[in-house]
Amino acid sequence: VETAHPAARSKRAQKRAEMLRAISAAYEQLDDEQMPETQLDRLVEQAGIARSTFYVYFPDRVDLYIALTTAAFEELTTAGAYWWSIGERPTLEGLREAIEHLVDAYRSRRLTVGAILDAASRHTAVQLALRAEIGRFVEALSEHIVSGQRGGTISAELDPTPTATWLAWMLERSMSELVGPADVSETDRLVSTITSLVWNVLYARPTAPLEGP
Amino acid sequence: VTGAKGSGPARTGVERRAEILDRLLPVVRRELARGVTFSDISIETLTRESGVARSTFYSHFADKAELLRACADGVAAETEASAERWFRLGDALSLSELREALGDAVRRYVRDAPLMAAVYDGARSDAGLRQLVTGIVGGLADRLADHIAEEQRLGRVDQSLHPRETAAVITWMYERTQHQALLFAEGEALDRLIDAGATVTWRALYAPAQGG
Repeated sequence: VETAHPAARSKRAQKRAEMLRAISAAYEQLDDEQMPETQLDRLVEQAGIARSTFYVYFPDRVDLYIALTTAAFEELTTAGAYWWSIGERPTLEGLREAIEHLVDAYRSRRLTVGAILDAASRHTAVQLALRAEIGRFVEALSEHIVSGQRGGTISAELDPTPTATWLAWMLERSMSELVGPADVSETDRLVSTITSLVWNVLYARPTAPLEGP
Repeated sequence: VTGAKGSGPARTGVERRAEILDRLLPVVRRELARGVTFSDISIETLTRESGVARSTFYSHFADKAELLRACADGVAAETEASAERWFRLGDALSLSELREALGDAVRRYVRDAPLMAAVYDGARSDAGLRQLVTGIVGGLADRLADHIAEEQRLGRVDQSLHPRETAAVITWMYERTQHQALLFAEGEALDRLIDAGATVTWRALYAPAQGG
């Protein structure tokens, strides 16, 4: 595989991407919240992939979870791009739509994300891949903060990267712990809450007094 | 085992268990700090390094999972005390006070963060740990929700926020940032993260009500 012709390599990458989509779709069809890692074979079957073929493309289970992580975050990155596009003239309504896009992207992949988090609690390599993906989101949000500070739409008192770190983990947990099990009206309240909190932190006017009263 | 200090021979089982936990906890911390995962710490290491007899261990803890739960309970109590310090600031609450309280809590927590990271990560697959995590986070979120509602009544927190949802979102933000970012930061990077955490919290909750 290492020495394969570039065309063969990209064919393999394409095939792997197809399989990841099928596996992720199979996860989303599950009735149970959790599928033990030991039942991966059953999931492969449900995805309509021959087991023998599957193991040619994903010989290593940890590698599969890392690939699923990368694929899941590609969708979140697309949703994130909508958020960065409101940067010039941020409005509460625009931010709410951006948060809704993130929530929708998460909800459509909820059980896949659950499987990724399970795998991350058992395999350090998956944990690191997940942290690296969040790191990329932190970087993008941090650039958004810097450009907003330049344009005068985001408070200059914010330290871009560490602020983005807190907000990124806030969003990650809000999705996996709160939006995940929520019903429609509860999700609506959560979206409003996340929108207000992000708005207050980034875009709202007030700046803090540096010392106590 | 005998002759330990105490007011008399009638020490309760609870006291005895706490005493044994005090001897085991440093061993757990040391092993985790060395990079050993909790599931790989052996009962043999625990008993040998702590000087607690194997039979004594098992008379107080059914298994290692129960030990982890007991360790986590103690840490959770400390975290609650740190949070109370924040909530009790009342009208003295400012960005600088918040920063000091948060910095203090984070630095005190550093020692136990690897242990709690094991608890939170294990909660995805262990029902007992899941229940423990739900209890810890739920308890902190309830207290924060009360604090938010009370401060809203006094006009010191943004009136438009739903207290319960806001408290849940903020509590989980603290949990994950602690175990995924603060745990791995040192020196200036840690200081900047703590400052940013205080600023984020201040701006999210209190700043909009300051009328500035």
